[in-house]
Amino acid sequence: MYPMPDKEEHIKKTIPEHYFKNLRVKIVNTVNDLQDDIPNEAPILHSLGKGSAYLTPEGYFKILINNTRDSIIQLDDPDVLQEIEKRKSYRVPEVYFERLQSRTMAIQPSKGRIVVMRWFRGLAAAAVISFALVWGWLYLQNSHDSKGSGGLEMHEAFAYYIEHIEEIDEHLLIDLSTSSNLDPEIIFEELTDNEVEYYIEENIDDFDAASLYDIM
Amino acid sequence: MAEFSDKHIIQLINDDDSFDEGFTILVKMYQERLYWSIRRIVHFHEDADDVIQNTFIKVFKGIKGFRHQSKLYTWLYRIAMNEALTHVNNKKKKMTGTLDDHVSMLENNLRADQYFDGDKAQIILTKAIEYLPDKQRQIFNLRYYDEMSYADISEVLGTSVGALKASFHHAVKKVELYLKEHVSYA
Repeated sequence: MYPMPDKEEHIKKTIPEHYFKNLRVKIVNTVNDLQDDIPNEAPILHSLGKGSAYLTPEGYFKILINNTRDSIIQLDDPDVLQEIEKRKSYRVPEVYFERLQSRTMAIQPSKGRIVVMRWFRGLAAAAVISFALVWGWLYLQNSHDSKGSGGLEMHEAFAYYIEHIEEIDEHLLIDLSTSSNLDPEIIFEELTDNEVEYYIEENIDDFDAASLYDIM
Repeated sequence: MAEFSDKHIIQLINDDDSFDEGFTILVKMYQERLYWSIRRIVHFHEDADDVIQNTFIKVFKGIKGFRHQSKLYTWLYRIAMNEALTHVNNKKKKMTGTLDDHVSMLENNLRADQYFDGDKAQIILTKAIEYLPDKQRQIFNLRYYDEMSYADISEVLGTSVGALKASFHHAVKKVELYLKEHVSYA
């Protein structure tokens, strides 16, 4: 039986000195020298170009931020919701402002400025009162057996309008002030209370005294 | 949209009052780049949509912990790539069959997909890339399509530049070989 040769001795005899060290350096250098040369290395790949065959639905990237926000909210993760609260993140329903804008455009009078509802309510209330006063005056001028519409005594109708001025429907207020220049096709039922409120706040500064006077 | 510096976006995000603004800018600035990178891995719009939303949810949750140890966009890419790969692997787990079966099914689904408009050659190229191992495919896509520097890919994937170069080199050779064998028959 032959004795096992010494490992280091064996390497020295069969592999050049510093072979492995040099090999490592050689590989590193080779890799570092690698250049992307697609036209020469991969001519078919190069000829196909980098154009994408993938498509997205139209407008996808415009709504991605909204979809992402929806996804975050829908997580229903208490930690996330707490973060949202802390970061004062707030949101409105999707395309809320676009919808609001189209609706408010629809109610815009053909000329002049839009009447701010808060002011308008006061004015319309004044119109109701005026109407009621005229009615009251007529009531005094006529005999006591005069009846208002709906079978009410005139003084009863008068009292009703005065007492319920805050509850009177906006449509009625508008109807009562038909002497104004408002577009008769205003459709208030399409606006939610929030939208009306938002609209008021947004447009309060746009109103001028002249337009107010016109409405009166 | 206008370009904002990472620093500016992070400043906005770090202030609770301007978080929303910062997050919105971040999403709008990076959504397309990330989307296309994800799409090249998952192939289908519905999947890419899920993955990018999950990516931004993770960003939303973790952005306050971003410590500038990497660029913002490489950090985003890292999350996106992990999400994309997790998505693909979860899908693969539900499937049976060989890699050939998987690639063949991919081809059929792409042909039927309303959001894919590629010709035969592009389908073959997609298949060639699909045959690459996961990591090599990521490297190929980031380098070839996204034209990312090796240093940035190294940040995204946590692999040395040398290994990336070698890997990309091999990937290109494999893709080219596959194309050579198949494109002429297209």
